[in-house]
Amino acid sequence: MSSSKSNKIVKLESSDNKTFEVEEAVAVQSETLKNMVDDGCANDTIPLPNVNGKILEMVLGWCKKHVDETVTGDELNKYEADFLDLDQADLYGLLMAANFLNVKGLLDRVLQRVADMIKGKKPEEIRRIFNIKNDFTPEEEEEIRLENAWAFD
Amino acid sequence: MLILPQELIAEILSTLPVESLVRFQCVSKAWLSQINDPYFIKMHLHTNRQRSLIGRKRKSNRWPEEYYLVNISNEDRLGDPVKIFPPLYRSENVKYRTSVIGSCNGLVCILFFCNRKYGSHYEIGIWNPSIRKHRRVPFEPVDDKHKQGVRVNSLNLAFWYDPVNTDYKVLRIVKFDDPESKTKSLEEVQVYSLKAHSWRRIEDQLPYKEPFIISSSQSVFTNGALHWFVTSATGRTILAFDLTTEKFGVQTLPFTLHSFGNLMVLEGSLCAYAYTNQATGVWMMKEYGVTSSWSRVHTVPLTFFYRQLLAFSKDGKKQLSVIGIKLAPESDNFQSPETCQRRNQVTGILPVQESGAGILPVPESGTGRPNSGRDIAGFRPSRSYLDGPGY
Repeated sequence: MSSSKSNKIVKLESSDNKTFEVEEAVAVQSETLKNMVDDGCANDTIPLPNVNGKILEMVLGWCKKHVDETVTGDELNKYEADFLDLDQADLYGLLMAANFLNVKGLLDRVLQRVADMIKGKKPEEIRRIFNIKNDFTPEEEEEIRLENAWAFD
Repeated sequence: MLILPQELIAEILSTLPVESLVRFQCVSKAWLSQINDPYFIKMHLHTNRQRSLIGRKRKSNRWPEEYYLVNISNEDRLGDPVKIFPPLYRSENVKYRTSVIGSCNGLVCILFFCNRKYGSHYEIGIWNPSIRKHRRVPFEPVDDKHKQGVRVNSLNLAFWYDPVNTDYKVLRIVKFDDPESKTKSLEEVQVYSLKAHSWRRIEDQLPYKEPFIISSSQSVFTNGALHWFVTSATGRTILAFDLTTEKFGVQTLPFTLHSFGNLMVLEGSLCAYAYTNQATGVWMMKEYGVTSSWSRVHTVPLTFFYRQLLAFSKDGKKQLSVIGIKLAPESDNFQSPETCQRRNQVTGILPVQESGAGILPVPESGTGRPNSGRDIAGFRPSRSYLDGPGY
């Protein structure tokens, strides 16, 4: 989408009231923000009540890196790998933000990273990570375990 | 604390190995429901492109027979074989031997047979080794007017996925002695539907007037049909069974096969390994259905037995294949020969992914193109249902 002002700035405000200013080219890496820009809603500061400052800074850093033409393919790969070396809380915050902001490449990477982290875990651990209540009775859960005993070794 | 929306959870789950999904069924009722949702299972099959091989250890005198699962990593390396157990069938202390008929979308069709004193007995099972579950195909006696039971001479089976009806099917061609005439042989064709959990006699029966034998032990799939070599008084022809129309057809060969040659598929075309007068080698039917389009594409030494594709490398450029029961030479493999040989010793026979007795391209999505193999079948692990809609 061409803009008459090619270095138009987009202003964003995180849930904890931090403001960020980025070039439009960076901001539109997010489909959500791109739609707002296209619809002409991006002239004032865009509030993002479900993304905190720390996470938003990370996401914008990712977007900046991906529009920077001076970055080589190898450098980008390394950047992406290091980027996802986060603790669980940040990773899930990032997941929610990437989903909401619809930053394509980032969302796929985070989903894969989360999948890799959880694939070997036990159900109890999964419940803790995702804050899920166990709504099975002990008998019901036991039945599933017995039927598929081989998977629980 | 964080609550992830269900669609993100589904996306994460769709990339997980089947074993993890089986375990995560007991996380919560919502997760149990998600993991068993037919749409999710389909999504998972298309997303989680885990390539695997399943094989049976040959000449194993142990019972139950030893089957192994070998995963191929994203870096095209063979993982360690994991022992798995096929469904066990035992009747009057008779131990069945098994043979893999084919596999599709993670389901493996397996034949259990035993040779008893007065004829052989068999069972067919549809097995999903990834979730360790199976369904027994109901035994269907030969549709014989006399109802006295018949002596089965030969049995040919094939397994495939029918995307039109989202169903898995098994084809059974049985040749048996005509009870009224000791010299005559009759045949009967039936198709089993997993969805309907029943057999159905095919109206279109085999198009041979003279006595014939199906010489191929397993079928080869290409151009929407299954193919076998057939030997009759007039020579050797190719029998084709169109999976859509459920009709048989015969294709003639422009050369005479002096010895038994193998049917296979190369680059999507039907091929035959022929020992003929003119030229021994691999012949390809360049235009399907056109007899004159057969032309020789490879001259190979007599030690070449048959070539069976196991899997493609991640970039699709290389193949892992088996010649006879040994792995193909280095130039064809994406693994070094020593590793291949080591695997070969451990498992005896390595399974094939989605291929016929020849070579089939690995489908991009779970289109369920069938493959058949005797001791070998490669497949993609899935949670495909054994009693519900197919994918």
